[in-house]
Amino acid sequence: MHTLTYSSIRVKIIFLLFIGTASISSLFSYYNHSVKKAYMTHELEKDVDRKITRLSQNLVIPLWEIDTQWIDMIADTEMLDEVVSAMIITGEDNLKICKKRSTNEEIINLCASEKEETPFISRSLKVLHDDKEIGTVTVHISDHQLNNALFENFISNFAITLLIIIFLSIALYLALNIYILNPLKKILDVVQSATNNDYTQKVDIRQNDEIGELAHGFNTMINSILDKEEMLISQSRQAAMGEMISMIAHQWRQPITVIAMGANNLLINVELENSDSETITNTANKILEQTVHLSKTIDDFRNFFSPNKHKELVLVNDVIEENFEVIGKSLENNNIALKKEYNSATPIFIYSRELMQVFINILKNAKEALVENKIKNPTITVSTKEDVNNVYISICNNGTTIPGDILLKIFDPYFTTKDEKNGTGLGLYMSKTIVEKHLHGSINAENQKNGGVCFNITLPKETDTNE
Amino acid sequence: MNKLQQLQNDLATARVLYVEDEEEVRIMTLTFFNNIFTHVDSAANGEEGLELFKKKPYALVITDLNMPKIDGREMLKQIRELDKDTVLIIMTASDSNIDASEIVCDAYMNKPVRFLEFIETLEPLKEKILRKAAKSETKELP
Repeated sequence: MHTLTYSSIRVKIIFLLFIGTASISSLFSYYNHSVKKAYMTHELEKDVDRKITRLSQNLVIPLWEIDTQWIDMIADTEMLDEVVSAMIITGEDNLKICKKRSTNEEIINLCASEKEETPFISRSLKVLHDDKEIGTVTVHISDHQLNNALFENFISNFAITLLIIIFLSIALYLALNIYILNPLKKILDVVQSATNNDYTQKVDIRQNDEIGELAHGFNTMINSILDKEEMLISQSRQAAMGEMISMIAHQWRQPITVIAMGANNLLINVELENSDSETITNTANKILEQTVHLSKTIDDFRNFFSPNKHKELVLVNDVIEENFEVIGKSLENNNIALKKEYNSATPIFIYSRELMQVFINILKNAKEALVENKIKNPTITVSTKEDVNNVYISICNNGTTIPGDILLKIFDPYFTTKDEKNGTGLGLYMSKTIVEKHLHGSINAENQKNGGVCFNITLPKETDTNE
Repeated sequence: MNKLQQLQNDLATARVLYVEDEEEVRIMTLTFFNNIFTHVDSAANGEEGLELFKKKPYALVITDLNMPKIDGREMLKQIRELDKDTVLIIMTASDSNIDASEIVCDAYMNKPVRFLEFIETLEPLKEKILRKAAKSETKELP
């Protein structure tokens, strides 16, 4: 049934939630990070602007007096701020004081070498005394501090987002479980038991949503299947009754004719005043003999139509023979020859009456096919054989073949090629149901090469009588 | 003289052929016919019936329809082709849904047949049977 490997909705949802959670929290954190970065950079730039303005004012007097010690002190103080990576102060008379933060956080007095990397932010300002330039101050700002802050911010943000989304996912999953997955599981269980023809289970879900509707719809469907099945059974029983009446008619025709003739003969004796007691006794005895016949027919049919409640250990050949007691006359009246090839000798444990019903349906169909198509030398061949596990029965006629499209449908309920009067379309359907469901075997129909159709039944050798 | 004795006397010269495949029915019915007719022969199927008919001239043939080998319909058709004067009566079970008009016959009776019904069916055919019987006798005489 399943062509794909099975994976439950639960697994799919967990997978989707995982992917969803990860990507949403990543996207959100990334967005948050960029916004924060822009903001912090802007703030830093404002700080640097303030810092350099203050520096340029603080450096006016030292630069004017060219007090290198003082300048150095100011620069050192400024370098205490960790965001400052380097400072360059120039003054008159080639004064140049450089401060630089080395990789191991020490401050060294060394003016820029050529290969110094471009700083994150660099600001230069002239130091003016009475509107006259007396020097410049340059501050380099590194982004280490900024990046560290941003990274911490990113981590905490990501963690919070992730937590929130995981929480939401769990809530969503639980809701899915309660409202969809668990009810679905319940429905699925019932569907599976219904597939195995157990229609006693109902889905017990009271929800005012689509799932509730599905459960309700499914229950209604099961009920209608049960109704339909009941109807099928009662229709097929009616059909079987009709069949029985027609077979009894065949069976009774001869005895009734003999009895009537016997009575006619008695009447003639009276009419001719022939009171020969021997003749009268003979005739009366013949009439009685015939009534025994009639009564036996009734017994045969009553046995046939009372289904057995228990399995019996029977020989399939015997079941077939018993069948001919019932339908044989009807075949004979239509001049149909019977060929029997019995090659099975192991009794099997089955519901023999049900098997008889199957045989009757197939034999009846074979008879009708032979009569309707006016086949010459109509013959029905019944053969049995067996191997280690199974008993095989085939019932063949020498009539016409069945076209392929019809052959595919002959076991469908209500499928019939006969007119409404003669066929209910249930006989073969019931036969298949009986063989598969009750006798645990299989049945098929195939055309023969030389014309005619064979019905093949395979029954497992269930010899275990303890079942 | 009652109706039966009248019929016995009238049809004393007529040869009758009875064809029926069921043995018990044939034996019992033969007793019945022997009480009515003087000369009655019986056959178990259409083929035997035809053979007998070809040997002797029968004035009346009474037959079942469903029989092995040659069935009643076919036998009656062939008898009619051999002799158009012979009276043909069908005596068969009613469940076969037979359209009597399709079959060559002078009368049709459903089994089981009642004694009086049989006599009444035979009454109107009596003259025809006698004519045929007389014709056969004149043919046989020289």
